[in-house]
Amino acid sequence: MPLLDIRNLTIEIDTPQGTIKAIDKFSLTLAEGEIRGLIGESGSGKSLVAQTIVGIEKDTWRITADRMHLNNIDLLSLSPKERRRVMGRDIAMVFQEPSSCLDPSETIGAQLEEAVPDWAFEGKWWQRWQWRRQQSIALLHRVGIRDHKSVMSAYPYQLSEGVCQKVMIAMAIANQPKLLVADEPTTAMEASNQAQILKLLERVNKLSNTTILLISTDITAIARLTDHINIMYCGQTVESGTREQILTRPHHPYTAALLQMMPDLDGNLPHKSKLNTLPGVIPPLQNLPIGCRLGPRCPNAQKQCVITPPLAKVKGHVYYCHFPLNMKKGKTK
Amino acid sequence: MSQVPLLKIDNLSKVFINQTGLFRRQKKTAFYPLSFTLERGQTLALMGEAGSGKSTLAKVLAGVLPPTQGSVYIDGEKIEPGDDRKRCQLMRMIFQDPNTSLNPRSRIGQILETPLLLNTELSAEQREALVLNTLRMVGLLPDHIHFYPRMISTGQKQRVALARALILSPKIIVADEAISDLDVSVRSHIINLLLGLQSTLGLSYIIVANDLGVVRHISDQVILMHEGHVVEAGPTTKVLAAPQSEQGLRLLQSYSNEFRWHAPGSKHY
Amino acid sequence: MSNRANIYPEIRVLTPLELAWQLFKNNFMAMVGLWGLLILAILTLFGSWLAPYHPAEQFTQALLLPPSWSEQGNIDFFLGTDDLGRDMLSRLIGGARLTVGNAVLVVLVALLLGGTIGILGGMSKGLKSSILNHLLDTLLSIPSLLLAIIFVAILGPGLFNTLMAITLALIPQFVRATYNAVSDEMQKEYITALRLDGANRWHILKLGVLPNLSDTLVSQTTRGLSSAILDITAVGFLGLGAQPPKPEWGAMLSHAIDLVYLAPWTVTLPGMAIVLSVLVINMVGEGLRQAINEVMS
Repeated sequence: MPLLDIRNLTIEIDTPQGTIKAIDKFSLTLAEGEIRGLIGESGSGKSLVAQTIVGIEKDTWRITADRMHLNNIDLLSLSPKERRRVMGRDIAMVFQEPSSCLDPSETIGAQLEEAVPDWAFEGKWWQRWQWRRQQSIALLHRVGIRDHKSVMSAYPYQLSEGVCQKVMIAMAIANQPKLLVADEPTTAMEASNQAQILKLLERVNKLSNTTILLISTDITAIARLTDHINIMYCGQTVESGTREQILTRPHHPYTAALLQMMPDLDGNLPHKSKLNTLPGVIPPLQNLPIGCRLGPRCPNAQKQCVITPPLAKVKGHVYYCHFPLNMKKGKTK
Repeated sequence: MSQVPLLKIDNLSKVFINQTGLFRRQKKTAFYPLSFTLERGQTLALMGEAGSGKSTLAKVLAGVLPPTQGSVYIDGEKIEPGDDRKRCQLMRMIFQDPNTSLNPRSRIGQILETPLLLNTELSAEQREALVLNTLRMVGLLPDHIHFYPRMISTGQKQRVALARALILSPKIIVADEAISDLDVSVRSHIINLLLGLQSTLGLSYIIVANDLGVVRHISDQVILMHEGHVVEAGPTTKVLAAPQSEQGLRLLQSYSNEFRWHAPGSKHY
Repeated sequence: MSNRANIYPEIRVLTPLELAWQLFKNNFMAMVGLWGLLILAILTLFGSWLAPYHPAEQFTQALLLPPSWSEQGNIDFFLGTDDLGRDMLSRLIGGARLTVGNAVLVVLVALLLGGTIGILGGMSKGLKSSILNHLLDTLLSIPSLLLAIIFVAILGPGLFNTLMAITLALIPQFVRATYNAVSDEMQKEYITALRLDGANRWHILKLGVLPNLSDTLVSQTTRGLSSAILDITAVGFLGLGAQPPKPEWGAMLSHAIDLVYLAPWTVTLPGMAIVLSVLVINMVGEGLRQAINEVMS
């Protein structure tokens, strides 16, 4: 039974220039306990998807979906209030810039204690205070902050970005959510912090079987943490499959480009040579191309590409492309 | 003349003084005195953790902040701290976030024309020709001179910022994490652009960067900083292949963590 | 190859001003306010030609005539007359110049002086700017009406003295608003970029700071305008400002206050005029502010 099942999610946004289809038929099925990577550059709509999942959509969006189930509860049939309750109980989110998500005028301790849910409390009422504090300290220990005393009494500005993000993760897992949505938790962080945060996410996943939807722009930096990967471009899913399928045999030209674009530390690219990249720029949402949205930038685009490619599926590897790459081995079955 | 390095930094340091009370002052050293040189057509990468002083060093070099001591020589000529006019002909800066470094109320044409207006005696036609030329050089269209910064994407804004840096045909460009925050495909575009400009115009770059892959690919020299001190400096290939300092090792380790996927064909795979 | 070939002819690049105007046009409340303001402006400028009678002309045969829609009303005196037989409509139109017109003058002077001081202060650093800052804090803590009353107490009552006083009371607000906006602006990265372009202080001010001040100035001007109107009428009502024969709205109100049971229109009409003009100004100001904010984001 999947934890989260979204079929054909479409988000339309009203703007002064008219209605924009920011997300076009996005589908996502998350199994319990997996780590799913959702990869896309800016404008791909990955953040819109995340915001829709956690229920912080804006009023100007029109959200339609054929199916949106969380843990077998149909989210679409619930009233907004009930939906928020369900989402608040089962889903937590970690944001991009931790230092701007924490209240600057309160200590970390106070904010953490606030995040500790009441329902887990057992005992006499006068122990509640003590209990909250203990829970907060336990949470800090769980995210790998050993020096809880100084962190609890510190204000967000006194802590480094990495520690702030750990605190955010601690607050997110306080409620023991089933799904943790991490929206680019490591961007704008240094390499050493990035590795720590990713390690922490992995531990959260392993220890409490929390499903994680990890959103990122850089596929190579997080690839090995994930079980499955979805890749989005301009509001469309272009490819999804298991990690190995995506990394070793990408079928969509965009995935292939993403994998090759960044120079690697030990890569065999000659020093200062031109990098492989897609021509052109990401189109603005107001004038998206018809058909396959990668069309104008795709190296193998042909006439057919003005028609939206249909879903194709090989061994659970889903892609939307008329002219898939790396099909020699995959074709046999 | 060829004996003189393009850029020579001599004993440069920066100390911030915070007035905490009426008479009490707090001193904070951003970076301790350091010296280095940079040759034509070379790229120097500044690396280090947050608070290592790398960003401050870039800002002092570009003239955003005055140095506490030490001096900067370009082509053997000393550049005085406040002399932005002379400095901007030789050394220009690209900021980290193009969304804040372009005036939202100016057209791109105006943004690019301003340095020309302030520093050259060119006529209006010459200025326009140069603006259009520079726009084309960074891969933008002539139409873009009518656009306002909010109408173009972040990657295009960074190109405009680069065009603004290039328009006075400087010799050195300082980029303070100018490529770290961009999207992957945009980042590789900008890197390609920088590399192309370096080979055609013979520019030198000083970049502050975090991504080791990028550093290895585009830089010739590396300076690794830690808490204001230079802990390691030298040719990129040498430093990244066998770092001598603890910080360098740690940087390398955390970059190649177990979650990073290495392209097939690389040594790790 | 032509340099200026336009590849996107269908995209017309709107200046921020045009864009703001489009947004403003689509805002119904703001447009209602704008039309109201336009009418108010016409009455202020051309009131003496539009009014049916001279504001001071007394019709002894028509004392305390109610407005024309009442049974005892007379269409010759559309809004009725007061206890001296003066036409209310003419007096209200005449008062528009005294109240609104003077408020506009006061705000313009305050904007000019306050804006200049604010910009100079905002561009400077260190001790000078911090002295200015603290001085302003002190001045701002005194309510503008109180300051006006103190001035009048020293200089004696009269319209000119109150206008002086209100101007002086408004200046700190303008200084403060521009000072804050300019010093915020000076922190921006594009100002640093301008400085690195070799710009001196004057260039930075002209190219970088001034274009970005419009939203502050617009919102501060409308706020100043409504508070100037309220101050002028309040001082007039207290009998310290414009003196009775003059049809200043506040003075009219205080003059008619004894007649409130006998002839309620003599009180309500000037009151309505004050409320409507302040409302109209605030509606336009709010619309402008929203439009500018939208353009900036």
